[in-house]
Amino acid sequence: MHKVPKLAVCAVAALVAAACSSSSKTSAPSTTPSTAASASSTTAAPGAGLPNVNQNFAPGAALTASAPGITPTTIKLGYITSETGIAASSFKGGEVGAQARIALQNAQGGIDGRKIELVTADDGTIGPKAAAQQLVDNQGVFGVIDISAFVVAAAPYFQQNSVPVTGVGIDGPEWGQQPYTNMFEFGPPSYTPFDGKFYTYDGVAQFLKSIDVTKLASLAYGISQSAIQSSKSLLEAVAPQGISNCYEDNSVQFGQTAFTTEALAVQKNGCDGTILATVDASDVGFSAALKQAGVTAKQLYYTGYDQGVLDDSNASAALDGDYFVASPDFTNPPPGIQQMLNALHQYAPSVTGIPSLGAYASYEATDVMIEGLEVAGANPTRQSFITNLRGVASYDGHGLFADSPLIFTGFGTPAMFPTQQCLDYAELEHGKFVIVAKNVCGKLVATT
Amino acid sequence: MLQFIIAGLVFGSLYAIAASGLVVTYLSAGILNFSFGATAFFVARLYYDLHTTHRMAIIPAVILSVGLAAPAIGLVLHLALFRYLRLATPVVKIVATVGVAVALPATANLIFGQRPILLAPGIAPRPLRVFRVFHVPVTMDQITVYICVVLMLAVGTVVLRHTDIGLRVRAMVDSPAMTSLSGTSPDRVAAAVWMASTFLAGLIGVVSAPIVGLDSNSFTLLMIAAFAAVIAARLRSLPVAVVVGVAMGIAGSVLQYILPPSSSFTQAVIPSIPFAVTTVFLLWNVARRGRGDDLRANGGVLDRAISYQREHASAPLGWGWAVPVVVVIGPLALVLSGFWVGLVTTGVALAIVFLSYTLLIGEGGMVWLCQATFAGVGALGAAQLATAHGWPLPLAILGAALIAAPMGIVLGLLSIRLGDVHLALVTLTFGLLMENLAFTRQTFTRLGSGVALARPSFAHSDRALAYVGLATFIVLALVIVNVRRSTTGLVLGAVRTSADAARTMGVSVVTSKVLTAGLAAFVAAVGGSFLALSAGAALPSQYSSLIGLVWLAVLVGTGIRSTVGALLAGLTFTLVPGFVQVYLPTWFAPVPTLLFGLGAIVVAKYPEGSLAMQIRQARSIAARLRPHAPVEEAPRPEMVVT
Repeated sequence: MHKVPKLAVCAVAALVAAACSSSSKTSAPSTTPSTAASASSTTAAPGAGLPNVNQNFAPGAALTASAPGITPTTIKLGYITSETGIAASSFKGGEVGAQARIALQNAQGGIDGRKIELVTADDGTIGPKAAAQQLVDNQGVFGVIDISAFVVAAAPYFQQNSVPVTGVGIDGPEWGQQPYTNMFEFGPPSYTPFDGKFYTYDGVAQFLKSIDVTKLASLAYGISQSAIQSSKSLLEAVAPQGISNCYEDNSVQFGQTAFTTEALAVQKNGCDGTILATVDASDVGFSAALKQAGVTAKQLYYTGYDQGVLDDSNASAALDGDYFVASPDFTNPPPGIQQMLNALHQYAPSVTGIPSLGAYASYEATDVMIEGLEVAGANPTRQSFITNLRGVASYDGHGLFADSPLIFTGFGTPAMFPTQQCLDYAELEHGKFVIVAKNVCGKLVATT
Repeated sequence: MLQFIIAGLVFGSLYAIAASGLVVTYLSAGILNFSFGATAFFVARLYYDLHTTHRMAIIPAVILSVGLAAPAIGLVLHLALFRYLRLATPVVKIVATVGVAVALPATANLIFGQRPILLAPGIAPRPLRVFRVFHVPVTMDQITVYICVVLMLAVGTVVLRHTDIGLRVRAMVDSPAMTSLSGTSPDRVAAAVWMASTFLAGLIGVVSAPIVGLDSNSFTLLMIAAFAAVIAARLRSLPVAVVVGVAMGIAGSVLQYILPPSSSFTQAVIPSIPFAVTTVFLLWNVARRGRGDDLRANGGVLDRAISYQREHASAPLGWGWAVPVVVVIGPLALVLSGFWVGLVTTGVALAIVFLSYTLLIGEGGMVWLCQATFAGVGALGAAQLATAHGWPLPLAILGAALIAAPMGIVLGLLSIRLGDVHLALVTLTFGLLMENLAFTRQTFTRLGSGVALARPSFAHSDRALAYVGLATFIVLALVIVNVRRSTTGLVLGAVRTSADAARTMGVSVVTSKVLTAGLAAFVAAVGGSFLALSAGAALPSQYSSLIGLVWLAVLVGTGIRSTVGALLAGLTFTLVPGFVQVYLPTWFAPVPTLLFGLGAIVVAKYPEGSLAMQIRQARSIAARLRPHAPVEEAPRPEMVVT
């Protein structure tokens, strides 16, 4: 809607807060022994009986218009973003990532010889459900890549129409909850409770321990249930590492940039480490306040590893010496990420330096969509897409997710979570990100 | 603890400076300027563009943005809008400034783009100097704000109360006509006042941006919190506004020190401080004086006598226009395709909510700004009753509406003696309080997905739901028309014209107003349920008071006194952005918001709204086209000289 209310904004915080932890890159071996995840192909779960459709379609099989959005020569996909509204600053312009991935695929012959087209809609202007309807009813797309903070509002519509949806998956619990089997994210569903428990990894805890944090302060936006959940889960996960909680503040105002009171509290409680589930502007304000108060606690942020910080000299001065979750690692990119960067630079030249969340999330989500189309058969239908992709137990995205193949089986259960997740961490030193810890692997833990 | 008090000065000074800007504007212009925060944001954004993006030095950037651009905005607003508001009704005054508050950020987005701004430098030179006061860091940016607060307090009080200029300005607010008799040009004074007001807003914006963050939402929230200090100051005492603003900031900081920071109680209490302050001061004001008075800013008798008055069209527009409109809209849902039908369905649901505004503001003359909250109560209540407790849907909707109605009645009783501006602020405060305290409960938010509200089997498709909604709308509209023609409606009409005169006739003002409030809350709740049905779930975030302000702006722009206007406004609100989305390029996206803001501004010139204006124009054209009939003149009353 026009003036996006505060509460909806909380989803942005959750989204951004978990963006890095949810796009996990691990070097752990695949956790599902029943599949062999080779570097460049995927296999359906045993018993599905489908041929490996990553090759050209068998000669003689005619291509038909098998579903809405599918013609013998084209596939029409939809993309939802937030061009306006309060979430716009995080997601605006993100479609370049999707366009780059599609251009790369089309340059390689498309999918089964069909070229992919992309149509965009903005859920900030007309609302999430109307944006979904515009793409599905009006434009007749086959599936939707939804990179916005409000997917949850459109989810029932997508589910009722069995529309395949891919996204970054952290605006709400629908990405891992029945009946939303049509929704696929490129990471485990961190915001879905299973039997009242939330699943997370203790890698962040291990990193904090490695930088000698013993008393941790954790702050989160008061209106964001998911940010608060993040904070609580983390505090449970650090306890076994010998890190105690010295200050937990869940009443930060969304977008707050003045933190004098909070800095005093951190100082008073003798904290030597802080972690925030907030957006960039709050990271900057908090770090500045700590520096001004002379507090020398080690600061870790889920957000902030982006070009916007590097481009703003005042912001990077304020964040100097702080630590950031740096996944995907764009500073020393592994081959799969380098391939993404190459594609972005070739097909989306407006993306310079570290791609924004919108850009790389849309690239990765589009990759999942393309994979779904490939396993759906020579003449895909929405149902064959959903059924077959749900049967894929390990998908590495042709190197994009090489460190942590995605698990699409076991929907609605904790089996969607790999047993470990490895992340990289960077420090901002004099205006440059330096990777200080690579592949810090955390075990899966259940928290309340 | 002392340290936390000093730390509390940071936010306290921001509240104080915003509140004093609002009070100075109100004292000088007689209008509570809802767009103050938006103006501050716009000028601050311009300063950022000049200073940070284009690397202009601080002093030239300040001169250009605060010294030139800000007063220019004030002049433009005066010429285009504010000079028509002098004799306008309170709802028009509020809506017009809300329109500006909506249009300005949209304009800023169009001009400057919407990239997030991580750090907005103020006018203090970088690198920032930091001082220590009792071991509490105090930055130069914060000191700038403190200096501005003191300056505003001193200059504002001295100028307004002790100088000739201040006297003329305050005289203008009371009666421009009388002031002009003393040789002062009202138009020039008014223009100067608005230029000074926007200059202040710009200055406040530029010095606040480093602390509060440079985005329009933060400025809006700051302004709304400052309303509490404005109410405490009874809308006219600058020192009280400053003191209460500072106290609120300190209270927030001290509470953070005292209360356990991780508890959900603290989460709820800290953002609610301004609203608690509002409630306390309001009740105190009312108890002490019996009335919450506004300034008499409508001018005196002489003003009304000598100024051009638009012909008062208090009669409704007649049924002739309702029928063709419904006949045209009716088949819409049959003709259009899925996406557009979905928008029509939502538009019809909104129209039902708008009916509550029509009833409350159009008929009752009561400017309530919390109807979106009642819609939320209806939606959340219906979802809880139907989904969590298994009630059949019609009963659930009715039940939720019956929960909202008493809330309306109680609020009506509590606010019965308030002047219009006070009433608007109080209801807005109530709405925001509900949002912060009640709507954020997990029971309703369910981690962001809300509670599902399933459609009944007979209204499963968007099309069917649109027709059910339309039928409900017609039933409720007929109820409202009935109220209009009933004794209650006549009483409300009398009260609208002159509350004092109505009271002397022995008419029961209280009963009529309170019943109207209850009925309006009921109608809003039903509309909220339909919005939830249209969306498929009751999401608390879709019923925020700030969205409600935009709804009001659109409705008043179309016509607040017309039930058909409510339907058209609802459809406009959903269809126009849909049209822009589908047929216009992406960068047009902020345009619908801008248009809605501008539409609300047009209300200043055409208080009845665009629908009524167009119908009257159509009528006058039709009258001219009719063959000439002999015109009978009414016999002139003769002056009988005895």
